[in-house]
Formats: sequence, C-alpha cells, structure tokens
Amino acid sequence: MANDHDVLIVGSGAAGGMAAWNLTRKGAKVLVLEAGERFDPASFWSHVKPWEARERRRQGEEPPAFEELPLRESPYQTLEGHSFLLRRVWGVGGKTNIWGRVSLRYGDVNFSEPAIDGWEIPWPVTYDQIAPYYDNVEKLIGVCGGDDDSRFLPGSKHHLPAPNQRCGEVLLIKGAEKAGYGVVRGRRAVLTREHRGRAPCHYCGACGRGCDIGAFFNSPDYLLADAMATGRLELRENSIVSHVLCDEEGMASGVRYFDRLSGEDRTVAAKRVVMAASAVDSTRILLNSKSSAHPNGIGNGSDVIGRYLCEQFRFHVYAFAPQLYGRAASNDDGISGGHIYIPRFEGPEQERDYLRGFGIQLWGIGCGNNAGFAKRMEGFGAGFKDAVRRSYPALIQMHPYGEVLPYRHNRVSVEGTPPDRFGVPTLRIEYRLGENERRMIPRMYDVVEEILHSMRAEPLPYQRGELDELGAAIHEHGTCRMGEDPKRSALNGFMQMHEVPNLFVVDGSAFPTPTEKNPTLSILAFAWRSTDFLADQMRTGEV
Amino acid sequence: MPRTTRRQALVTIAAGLSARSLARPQDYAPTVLTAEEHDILGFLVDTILPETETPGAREVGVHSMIDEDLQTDSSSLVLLRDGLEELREAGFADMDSPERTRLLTRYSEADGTQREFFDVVKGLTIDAYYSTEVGLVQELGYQGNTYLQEFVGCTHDHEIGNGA
Repeated sequence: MANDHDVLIVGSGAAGGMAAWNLTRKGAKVLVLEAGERFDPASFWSHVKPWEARERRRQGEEPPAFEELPLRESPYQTLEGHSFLLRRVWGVGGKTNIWGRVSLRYGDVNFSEPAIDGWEIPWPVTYDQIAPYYDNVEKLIGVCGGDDDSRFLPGSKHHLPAPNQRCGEVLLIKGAEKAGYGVVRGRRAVLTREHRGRAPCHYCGACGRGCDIGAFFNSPDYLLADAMATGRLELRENSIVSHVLCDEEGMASGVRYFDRLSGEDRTVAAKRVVMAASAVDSTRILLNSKSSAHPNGIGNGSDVIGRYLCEQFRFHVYAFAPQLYGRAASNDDGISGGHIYIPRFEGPEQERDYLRGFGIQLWGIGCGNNAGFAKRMEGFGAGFKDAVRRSYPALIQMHPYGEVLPYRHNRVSVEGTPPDRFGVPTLRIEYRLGENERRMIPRMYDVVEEILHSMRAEPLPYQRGELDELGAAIHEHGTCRMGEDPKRSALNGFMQMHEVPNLFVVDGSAFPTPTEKNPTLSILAFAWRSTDFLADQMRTGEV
Repeated sequence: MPRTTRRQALVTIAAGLSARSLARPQDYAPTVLTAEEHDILGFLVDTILPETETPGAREVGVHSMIDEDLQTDSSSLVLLRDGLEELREAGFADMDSPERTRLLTRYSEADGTQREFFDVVKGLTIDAYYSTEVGLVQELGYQGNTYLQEFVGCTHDHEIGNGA
C-alpha cells in the first residue's frame, strides 16, 4: 500500500485524537492506527435503568464492553503480593469514551516542586508555558467550573457555568470550610450549556456508560470528527501495533502491527511516528521495539523507559449527613460525579513530613442508582430496610487522591513475559508505594475525619490506612518521561525523543510526576503543544 | 371489580416489570443452585429484606436473581452452598420468622465462615433488591437516569448546626 502520510499516530484517545486534530488542521496527512473499533453511541446503555439492564441481559443483549479487549488481547502480570489494576480501553477514542471528566489544571506548584524537592527530575515545562494551551483546550472542549482559583489550582477564564450543588454537597462545603479547608466548584469537561454547536448535558447521570449525545468531551466527537472532515485523516481500526521500526541510523521508519481480525502481520512506513497508546501500552510497544541501533528498546539508551511508573493512591470513606436522614429522595444525578472538589491546600508546616500532597474528590453524593452503601450498615430485617431508606438521601462520600513519587523500581517491563497470540511479549507491572506515601496516608485520613466531624457526619465503618487497589485511579505516568537531561529522561519538553528526533510520545507516559490531579486536560494541552512544535519542525524540515 | 391494595399493586409491578421473564418469580427454575437450595435462599433473603410497606426480597425474586448471576460469577458459590446446607440441616425453611431472625442474628454476630456467609448473602441481596424497580423506585424513591432541562440541585436552607 502506498504511503504518503506525513505522520503516523498510534492510538486515538485524548492524546492521539488531539495529535490527529492539530496536525490535520495544520495541513499534515495523518494515519491513525487504533487497536480496537469504533463504539456506536446508539448502542450505549445510557438510558437503561438497572432493572431494565437485567431484563436486557436475559434477552442476551450486552452493552459495549469498553475494557474487555486489552485484557483479552494483551493481558498483564503483576508481582505476587503487589497487585496493580490496569484499566484500558482499546477502541476509537480510548478511555475518553467513559472517563471521569475531571479537568483540573496542574499549577505552578505541580510543575516546579520536583526541581525544588529534588524528586526525581525537574519538569522541562513551566506553568506559564503550558497555560495558553490550557486556555485553548478549555475553549475547544468546554469545561464547566468556577473562578475559585488557588495557588494549587490555577484558573480559567473559559469555564462554562458550574452545575448546582446537591444537598449533601452544600453541607460538605459548610463542614469543610468550618474545618478550614477550601472547597471549589468541580471542573469537569461536561457541557452545562450549548458549546460550539453541541447540545448540553441533560443530567441523566450515566456518563460512565458513554454519552449518547456527546455532551462531555470525548475524542471521537470532539477531535477525530473534525480531523476526518479535513480529508487528511485515515483511521485504521483493529490495528494492534507491536513495534516501532527504525532505519540503520536508528530513526523511526514505520511501525509493525497485526490486523486483529485477519491476524495478518503488517508494516507501514512512516516519516514521523507519534505514540499515543496510553502510558502503559505506549511504553510496552517502545520496550518491544528492539534493534541493533536500540538494543534496549527504541530511544531507551538511558534505560528510563518503563521505569518511574507513578500513579496516585486513593481511598474512599462513606458517611451520612444526619441533616438529610429521612428526607424525600431527589434526583441527584447532575453531571454525574462530584460538583465540588477540595484542592490541595497549605498545611501547617509541622504537619507536613512528606513531599507533595493530595486533593479530595467528592463523587457519589446523594441518591444514587444502587444502595451498595447499605452493605456497610449493621443488621438486617425490617428495621434495617427502614434505616437504608432513611439513609439513602443522606449518603456522602470522600475520595482523597495522593501523589506518588517516581521510583526507579516501579516499572513496566516485557522481559520474560508470556507472548500475546501474535508472539509479542506482554506486560509485567511492578508497583509499590514508598515511605513518602506511607507518611501522607495518616494526614489524608486526619483531614477526612476533621471534615466529617465538622459537619457532624456519621461515617460508615472504615479502617484507617486502608487504600483502594493501586492503579485504580487510572492515571499512569512516568514510564517515558520528559526532561532536560537525556541521561535521565527519554523525551525533551516537546515530547520528542532525545535519541530519535522523529519519534514523539504524547500521552501520560511523558509526565515525570503524576501530581494529585486527574491528567486528561493536561494530556490534551501537552499533546497540542507538542504537535504545534512537530508541525513547525516539519515546515522547517527539521524532522 | 375487587379493589387493588397498594401492596397488591406493588406486587403486580414487581412481577410485571422487575422480573418480566419471571412472570411469576415463584415459578423460577434455578440453574445453578438446586431447587432446595434456591428455596432456602429465598427464605434467607426475605429475612434480610422482608416485606414492609413494599414487597420483600423473596417476592421480587432476589434469590432467583442471585442464582441467575451465579451463572456468570460463581466466586461465592462454594461459600453459599456450604452455608445453605448448614441452614438446611438447621431446618431453616420450617422455622417461623422470629426463629429465622434469631438464627441469622447469631450468624451476623459470629466469627469465621458463618459471619462471612451472612455478609456475602446480605451483599448479594442488597445489590439485587435495590436494582429492581420495587427496591430502587418504590422503596427508596429513586428518580434518576432521566432527561432534565436543568439540574436544580439543593433548594433547602441546610445548616450543619441544628442536626435536624
């Protein structure tokens, strides 16, 4: 097949979609290889109630299995006793089809503190450099929120109106503020009014099953559709990329991939390759791309690729706001998930015996579509059933997310792992927390307890120190990090490989730290900035 | 025409909407559990979430839903089987309601497998019951997953101080 593409992109989620959108807009011909298929919004179970879902399943129907394909095609191993939950979506748009939509800018603190505290390498980009891209992204995709900025959460002039608060959120704000913690409007990529011709959210609360009208940012509707309309995008589905190929000088020359349906082993030449297959899968492909020029995986002379995997750790505390016991149930769906957020804050110096920090997310407040909370309530019988009904509108939840430092031993690797059905080595993930995180955990519990106490909430039983499974935040970073020093980083600040200038990695793997925040907004901003740079380099003939 | 009580109406909804293919939940033929295990489970889930103003767990077929779900996730099957066998030996099906409650109270306060069995069945019962239209809408008042022009949010004047 003749290849006249200027750029080949691997993956079509937030990073790949942005790269394709920006490059086609600038006149480049782009080929996107996507491991899965398009998800049809008409097939989403956005408006299927729980009892109807059971009935549909009885009839043999199933909703789209967003997360099934990677587990079937490319399973992963973890070390005994160190589980890691890797959640991936293979399919057009990747995880943006079902993501949590939290859109928080990283602040100057996030970018500058690794250089100050020395752990582990500095970010090669400052807040001032990326801020215009945050503006651009917010204008493009539509992010609702307030103007309640802080040192830890820089703001935007482009927010759509923030949604109104649920009763439990009103009480949480009062309680947190009384305890001395600031609460802000949630910043979420959900359209609370019409935006660039797109219909707004209708508050059905089922975003996690995919939005049938595209009222929250997702790569297919917001990026790939525009890119396709330029006539310069070719999107090839069911193409599982296994290797980035290189020429004798070690420059990227194309990729090898397997057609998922026919099993055919194919190669496609490329002048420039942009990796955007999500942190862990991009890293796996790079590590598998061994050659005489790159015996340790392409661009990995520094041996940093695969290392420094960093995610966040989190836990969940459930409680009741007694002020709401026994009230009539209300429709608390809103834009689904939290309408408020407790950003990282300044703590008294003596209480900080750890680096970095945490923020607290507040989803699942009020009347939901299940009563899972009741499993933590004591008892059974008629009295129990009555207590569940009285408690149902009073449910509040707190979900702190803490930053994990980058450690060399936390890594993904492909050495000695079982091959997939095409003979390509799969992943092993080694991940464990360190001393810094262990010091942060008690402080996180303290703050949660202070706030609950302050609002007179009655917590459901929990164990101090308990954490959710590692990986559950789904914010993997660090395994192909950018930095100024080629000995300690794989990419420069424009996400271009130090060793392979025509190979870019624009997904979360490029971030040297995970921060305490959700990364998608930042991934979009960085991918935009990187592909602006790439387009300039193409124009001047540099790459 | 006889008058329909609120309870009868709810039962009709339970049979007609929540479990359409189980036109009469009591006719469900278990596919994983034995008929006897299924019967005992029915009395058990009904002890956990009994009939009140709204139908109980057995009447809406929670025990049948659990059996149905065991087809795809059998991780709790061994624990369930052993626990149901113990209840069979104790004559659970023939007990009256206070006796069942007394026995289950012992389970809920026990250590080890009896407590584990109780917690697992309680969890499955909660998940199944509150996913039915009876449990979620009639009992809890759920109004979500619908089209709204605007999200009004809280309109009350909540204070954390008064606790009322």
